[in-house]
Amino acid sequence: MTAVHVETEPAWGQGESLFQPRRAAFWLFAALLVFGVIKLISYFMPALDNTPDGMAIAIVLWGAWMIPFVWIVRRLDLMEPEPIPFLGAALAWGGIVATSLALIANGAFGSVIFKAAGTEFTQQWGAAIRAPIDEETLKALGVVVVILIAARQVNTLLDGLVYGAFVGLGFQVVENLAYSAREMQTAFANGSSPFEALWHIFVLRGFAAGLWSHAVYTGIVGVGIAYFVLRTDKTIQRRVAVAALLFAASCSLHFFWNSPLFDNVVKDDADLNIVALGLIKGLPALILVFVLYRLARRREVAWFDGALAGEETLVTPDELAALHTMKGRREAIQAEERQSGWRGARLRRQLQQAQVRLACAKVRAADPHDAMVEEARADVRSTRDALSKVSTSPVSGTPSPA
Amino acid sequence: MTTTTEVSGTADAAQAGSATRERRTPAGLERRGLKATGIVLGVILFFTAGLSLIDALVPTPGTEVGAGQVVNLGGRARFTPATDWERESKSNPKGGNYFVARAGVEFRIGVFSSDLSATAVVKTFQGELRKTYPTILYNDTTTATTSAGLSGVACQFSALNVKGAILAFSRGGSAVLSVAIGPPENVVTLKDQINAMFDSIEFVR
Repeated sequence: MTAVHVETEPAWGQGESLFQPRRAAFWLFAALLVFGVIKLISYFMPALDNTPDGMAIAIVLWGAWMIPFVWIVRRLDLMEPEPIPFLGAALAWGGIVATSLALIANGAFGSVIFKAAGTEFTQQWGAAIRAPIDEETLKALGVVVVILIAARQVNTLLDGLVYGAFVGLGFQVVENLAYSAREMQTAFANGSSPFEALWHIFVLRGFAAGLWSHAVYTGIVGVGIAYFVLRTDKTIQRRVAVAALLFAASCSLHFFWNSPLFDNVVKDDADLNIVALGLIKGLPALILVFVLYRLARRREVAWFDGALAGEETLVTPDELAALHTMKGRREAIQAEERQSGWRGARLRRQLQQAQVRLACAKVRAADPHDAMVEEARADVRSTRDALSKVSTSPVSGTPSPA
Repeated sequence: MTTTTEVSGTADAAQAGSATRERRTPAGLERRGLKATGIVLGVILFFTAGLSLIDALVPTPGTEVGAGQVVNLGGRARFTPATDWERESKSNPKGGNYFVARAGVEFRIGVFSSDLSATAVVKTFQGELRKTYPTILYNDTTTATTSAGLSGVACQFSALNVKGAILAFSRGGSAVLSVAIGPPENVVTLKDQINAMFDSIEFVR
């Protein structure tokens, strides 16, 4: 068995409010949010005026497109789901702050590249040079600002990945919406169909370019930032090196994606070419983020198991193993449903949630008999009792009455 | 004993209060994280104001197009490039080709002998452009009429990192093909100037 090196215990459950008026980062975030909203309103206003129906459809379309990604990213952090206000803040940074700042930075940077290297170079390589540098930096600042507002929210490397992914997802959705607005606006001006323009951009950026881009890149950067902040047991040089390496990896993958390299793999079939392009250029980023996720998750599982050590009557070894993965949790719920029907399935889900809360409470409280821990234990017991009443088979781990 | 404890407690409280004050700025903000927040602000200022300043300081290459300058394309067509755009060195107006650029956006125009319809000219060029930008998606072609009454065929396109429009005219054995292409955000920013250039195209004879 591979030993998992645990340096710092996560401060799970130590909730902090997003409203931190005594922290400068909070006011910076608030000011940039206001600036971003104003900037984006002025940006989207012509499209809203000319093609209100198209914009409404675009908002619904991209909003719906985001839902499965939110679902997936939230489930990456099974052991201690991040508070919704902070995930919302990360999403808002990516979607409002980073995009509005990138609109300015991209235009100026693109113009500098054009002046230095000419038109053809700019058209071929401009986006590959400017976007990784300014967009990745502006998005990364979102994770930094979340940490500056409430450091205790980022407790593990996995938290860095989740916050990074949310920043990236926000950026991706609003950027896609901006592209849709541009296309619809141009189509409107030229008398062609805004809806057709919207569909083109949805196919191009939602599927060909969208399945793994900004969320993945910023997720990678987020792990690096979390490593820098959390691994205080390591030397500062090493922490800087890891964060810089992951930032560089993210920029390189973004550069590769935006570059014209391998753009024409399948010469005779444009649709197949887009699929091939997505795999060749997108898969390396997905693989890297998956590897980082596995490494980060292994550490988190070790903490989780440690927190529930000695609680075998409340969380049996089988239940503990099932809690480690989404699949394990789902299979346990399905098995319960087969045995006890939908009520049993619902109670099994509630039991799993109560067990996760117990782990969080134990990590939070220094004393294993703290009132908060006892309350969590009582919650597990009562849920288990309720489950044993509807279950047709004996519920393992049911504690005997004291 | 009680008094001592109270005094000690008061002293501790005073000390703690003093320490708290020391950890706060006069505006009441925590000093912890202040430097990092300043760095974040500095980076943001660099990417916005700093880059814009650098852009303003770097001179534009090429020859700037004069205000209202009309370009004659091989004696068969003409158009008016937008002011502040730069004429590119590959331009050959006598040969019927002209290229102007700004902020990475290029506006090209060419006149040539052709019996093809404007639609066929656009379709042919679409195939050529797809070779350079394999992910390109074309909107349906539409009819476009300039303010001088010249009627042609237009088509917008977008690829992963560029967007633009094609406009073609065909008349009496001559065809004009004009294309605007560049980074999406800059094409949008310059769209009024691009449209004005498209609108200025006319056949000479």
